Amino acid sequence: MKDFPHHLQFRPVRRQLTTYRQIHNAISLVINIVIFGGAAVLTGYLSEPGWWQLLLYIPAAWILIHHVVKMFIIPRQVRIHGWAEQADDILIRSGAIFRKYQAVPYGRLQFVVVTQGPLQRKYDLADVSITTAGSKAEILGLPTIEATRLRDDLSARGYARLAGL
Amino acid sequence: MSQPVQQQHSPEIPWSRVHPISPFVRSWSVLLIFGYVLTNLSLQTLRNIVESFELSIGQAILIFLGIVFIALLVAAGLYTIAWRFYQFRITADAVELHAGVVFRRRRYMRLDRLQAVDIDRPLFARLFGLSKLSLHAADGSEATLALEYLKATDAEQLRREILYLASGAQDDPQLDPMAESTTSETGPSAGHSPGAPAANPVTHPAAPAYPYAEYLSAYVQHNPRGLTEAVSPPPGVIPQQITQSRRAKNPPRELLTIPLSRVVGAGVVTGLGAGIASALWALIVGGFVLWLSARDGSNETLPFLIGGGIGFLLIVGFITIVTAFAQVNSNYNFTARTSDSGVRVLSGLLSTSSHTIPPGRIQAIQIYQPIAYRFFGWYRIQVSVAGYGLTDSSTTVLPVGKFNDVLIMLSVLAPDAGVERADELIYNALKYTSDDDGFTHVPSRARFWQPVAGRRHGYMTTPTLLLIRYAKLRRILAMIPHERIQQSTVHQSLSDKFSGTVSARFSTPPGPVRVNISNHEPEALIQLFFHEAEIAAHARRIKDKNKWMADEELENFEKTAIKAKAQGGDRA
Repeated sequence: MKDFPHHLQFRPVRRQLTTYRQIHNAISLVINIVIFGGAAVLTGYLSEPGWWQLLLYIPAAWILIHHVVKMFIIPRQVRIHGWAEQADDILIRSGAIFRKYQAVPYGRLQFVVVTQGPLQRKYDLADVSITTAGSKAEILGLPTIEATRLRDDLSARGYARLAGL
Repeated sequence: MSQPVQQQHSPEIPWSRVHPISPFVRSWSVLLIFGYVLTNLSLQTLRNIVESFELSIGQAILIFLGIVFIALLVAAGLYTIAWRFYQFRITADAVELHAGVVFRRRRYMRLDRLQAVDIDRPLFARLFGLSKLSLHAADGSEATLALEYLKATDAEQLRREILYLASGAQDDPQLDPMAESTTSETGPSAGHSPGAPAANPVTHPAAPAYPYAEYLSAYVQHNPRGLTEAVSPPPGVIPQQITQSRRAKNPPRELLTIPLSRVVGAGVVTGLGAGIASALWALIVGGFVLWLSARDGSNETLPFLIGGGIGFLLIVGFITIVTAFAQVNSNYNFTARTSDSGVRVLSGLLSTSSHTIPPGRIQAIQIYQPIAYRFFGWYRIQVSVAGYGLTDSSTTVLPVGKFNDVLIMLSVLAPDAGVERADELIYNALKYTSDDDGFTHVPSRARFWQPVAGRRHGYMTTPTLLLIRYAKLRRILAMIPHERIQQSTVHQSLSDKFSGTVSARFSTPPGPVRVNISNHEPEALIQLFFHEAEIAAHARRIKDKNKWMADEELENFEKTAIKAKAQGGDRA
């Protein structure tokens, strides 16, 4: 999306998000391969042999491809992901290949939620999700302090500019 | 974003109960099944029991009657308890409902979050003259508070009181809305005949035939903010001194009714469409089966063909009748009105329903013309209202209307379009596609990704509205007031990657109205993205309309509306 204005300064999320998401991706890969690959092997073992047994491995293969591709995309996604607090709204940029920009006016905020899992805590990462009446926007991988700061700021600005539905 | 809960009047306001028969009405289907099982069981097993206990027939009947009597007694007891524990009250700023014996539910719904009020009269409840009052709010996950069931007149009166309180027009703090609502049947509202809308043939002069061009230019003048000004007290409910202090600018007026012939016509046409579509599916499946069997070597295809033909007609007929009847049943005697409490639509044959949407609650509007409607020049209007979500029946505010009716409805649903000839704008948007129709079209290099809609898919802005046009065979025009847009998103999908275009989404609260724009020229769409984001940030109209009749809110609204307009104008 080359036409998007370049002068906007997006604040990047933590670089450690890459590590976290890679670990997450790897764990997900292992679990899914074990489930789908296991199921395929088991079905193949229990049924009569034939060429069609190869079809059983399609889900597992698809998962493998998906996760491997993701492995290469994640660093780029993290580099792109960021947010810009403007006077009246917050802009969120995401997506390495399929770029996406979201604008949420402060006055439309319904609630702001900060979440953090155990693995995220280890890397000092927190997710901020911003909900309006019709949609949801997320910023992933902020430092915990920054996330709570953002939540409080957004709530304060939201209250000051409350526009309701 | 929670505000302190105010309960100033609550201690004085007594709790009310619904109609005593309502637990029975609520669970009639369960009762029916229970009764069926009971009679069936008894017929089969009675003889066995009589034989095994060596009773005489008389004794057996006596015991059986005893069991039935005890069952009835238990049921009655349970119903009484359920009824006693189901109570509600309406305070100055909230509706409260306490229900349940074992699992207690306590609902507290703030009136300034009220989005719509429905009165439904399902067939069974209607037999008892009862109505269900549903309040829809944009407040948390559980958005609907239903009072089941109230006497029809009480429901009408409660509806008006709730809307009146929600409007913030209350000048008299002494007003106790409960004082006469649930007790008086022949209260002051009796003369207004608020009862069953469908049972009482409406006694109004025929809907005025507004020549649409004249009407719309008139609406721009005398109703420049859409619904906000349509204000006058519901006759009968409000005490006299308050009536005088309220500003009654527009009396309640009948907008339109749909003639029965058109309701039936639309039902048949829609039914035929659904019937043919499902029969075609059946034909495809049947043809596949036929092909398989023919492959097996049996050459007896003629019986299959005859059977298939009959089956096809049967499916078409059956689906058509069922769909058509459902349509006629829900749209029969459709009437739209406007008053101080907003737009109100009433309809229904066996079960009737009425939906009231207060001013400023409509988030987006969609004019929809199914293929079948195109032969007759009919249109449908759907709206997104925060409390309704995606429910089809409540979101349709005009099931089948001519273009004239569309304009009449738009005059109360939509804000002033901000152009000189709103009627022409909408007419052209629906009917024509040309290079200079004001719409931004899908660029030719992306036409591949919009195979049917082609260049018809596009968007356009007026000072107040974002119009998005979809589809070619059927016709869809979404109209989103700029200030309703909650969040703007611009993104690139896979097809966009190929054609160098972008897509956008302008989110409004969930509803039937479409809000996506696909495969458009990046430069213009990104500009629109920033434009909408900015308007959304400045528009404070709806907050100001939470209590749409409170004086300070009206003033606030005036100021911000002017400001927002000026700002929007600068940017446009």
